[in-house]
Amino acid sequence: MASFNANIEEALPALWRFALSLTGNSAEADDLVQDCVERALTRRMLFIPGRPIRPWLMKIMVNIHRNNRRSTRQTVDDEALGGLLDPLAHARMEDRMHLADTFNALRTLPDEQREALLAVVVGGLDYQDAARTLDIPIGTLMSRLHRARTKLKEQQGSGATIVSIAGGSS
Amino acid sequence: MTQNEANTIGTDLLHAYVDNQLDRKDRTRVETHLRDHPEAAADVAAWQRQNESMRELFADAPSQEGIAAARAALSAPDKAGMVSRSPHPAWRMAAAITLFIAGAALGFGLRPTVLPSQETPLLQLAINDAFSAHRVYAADPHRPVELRANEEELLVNWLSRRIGTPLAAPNLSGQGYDLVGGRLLSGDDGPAALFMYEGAAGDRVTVFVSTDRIEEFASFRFEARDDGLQAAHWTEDELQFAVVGPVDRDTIRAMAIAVYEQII
Repeated sequence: MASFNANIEEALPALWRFALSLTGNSAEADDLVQDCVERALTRRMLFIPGRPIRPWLMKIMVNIHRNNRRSTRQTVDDEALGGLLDPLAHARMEDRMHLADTFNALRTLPDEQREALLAVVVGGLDYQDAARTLDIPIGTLMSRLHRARTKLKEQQGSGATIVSIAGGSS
Repeated sequence: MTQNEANTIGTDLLHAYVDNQLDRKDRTRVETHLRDHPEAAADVAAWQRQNESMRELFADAPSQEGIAAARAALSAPDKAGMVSRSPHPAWRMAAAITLFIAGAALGFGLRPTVLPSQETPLLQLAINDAFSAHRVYAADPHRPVELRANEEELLVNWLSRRIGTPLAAPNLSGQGYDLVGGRLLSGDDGPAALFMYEGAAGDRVTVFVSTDRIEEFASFRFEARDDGLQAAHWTEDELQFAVVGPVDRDTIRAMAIAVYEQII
């Protein structure tokens, strides 16, 4: 039992980053991690010992996140972006604008495509685990990944929204 | 040769290359391919830049507050309810109490003095419902189910519509139980679905899904009855699940895991 808790604890930083990528701001990421850990603790009997715990936790997290989203359809606005970029204040404005662009582009993706991309890129899961985490067949995961990346690439070309989002300075 | 190779390098492989999910041999194959296919190479380069940006965007050191709160819940379950971050302290308290109930019921060796007496009667009602439904319908020789497994799609659609959320019939064939069918029941406070399974010996197991709201009190628990029935019960967001059958605790747990893995 101790190792179950220890494994969760070890996964916390990765879990938090994934939560941040899903919610887009750090206060909500805190809450999401907290809810996820609490739910995982009450579900420990449903964990198959010996399996990797990170995909299992991320699956719980995605599930909670989807439910939160369903109940309070969140409008991700400049405020969320500001919260996310605050820690980057030291970064060069050029970098900040680039990251703001990335953030914004991510927000325009359909939820299902964004989740697929984040599970793989930020969550660091292999395709098998990512598909399991999102509860979709691996073929579906691949096509969502592809659509997400294609769309991001198109947007990155345009870049028209950068300046206004980065705080109006040009 | 180049043409052949081109045919074998699909989009999936390019993504796998970008996500670093290939072994050395396939990496080399993709790299060779990219040299001769500038368009694919441009895609790959763009995707790699996207990955870098995303990782950078979410590379912040985790919030100390958030990690500390989660860690506190992990290391001291009896304090989980007191973590101050929560917007719903009462909810956290409930979670902590639940932990005690579950912990004690599952024999985690928590101090018996913490076993609370305030177990929610709603939870007990819910578990009783699941036991009752099992007793009534598993024993019914004539019409244990309303719709048979060969009409699974119809069954699932129909139940999903009544329950108001998409359901799938859990598959318990890994545990040696085949779906017989299902029926619609009423729970304490709303519709409930009952899925029935049969083992090789003709013994029956049921999965009871109800929409009754009992908040988060019922996290996960086992319950046994004198007539030899075992149940595992838990809530998942708006739904409650119970697996009931004349089997031992390990078996009921394995089934609960199977159902849980399939529904979340």
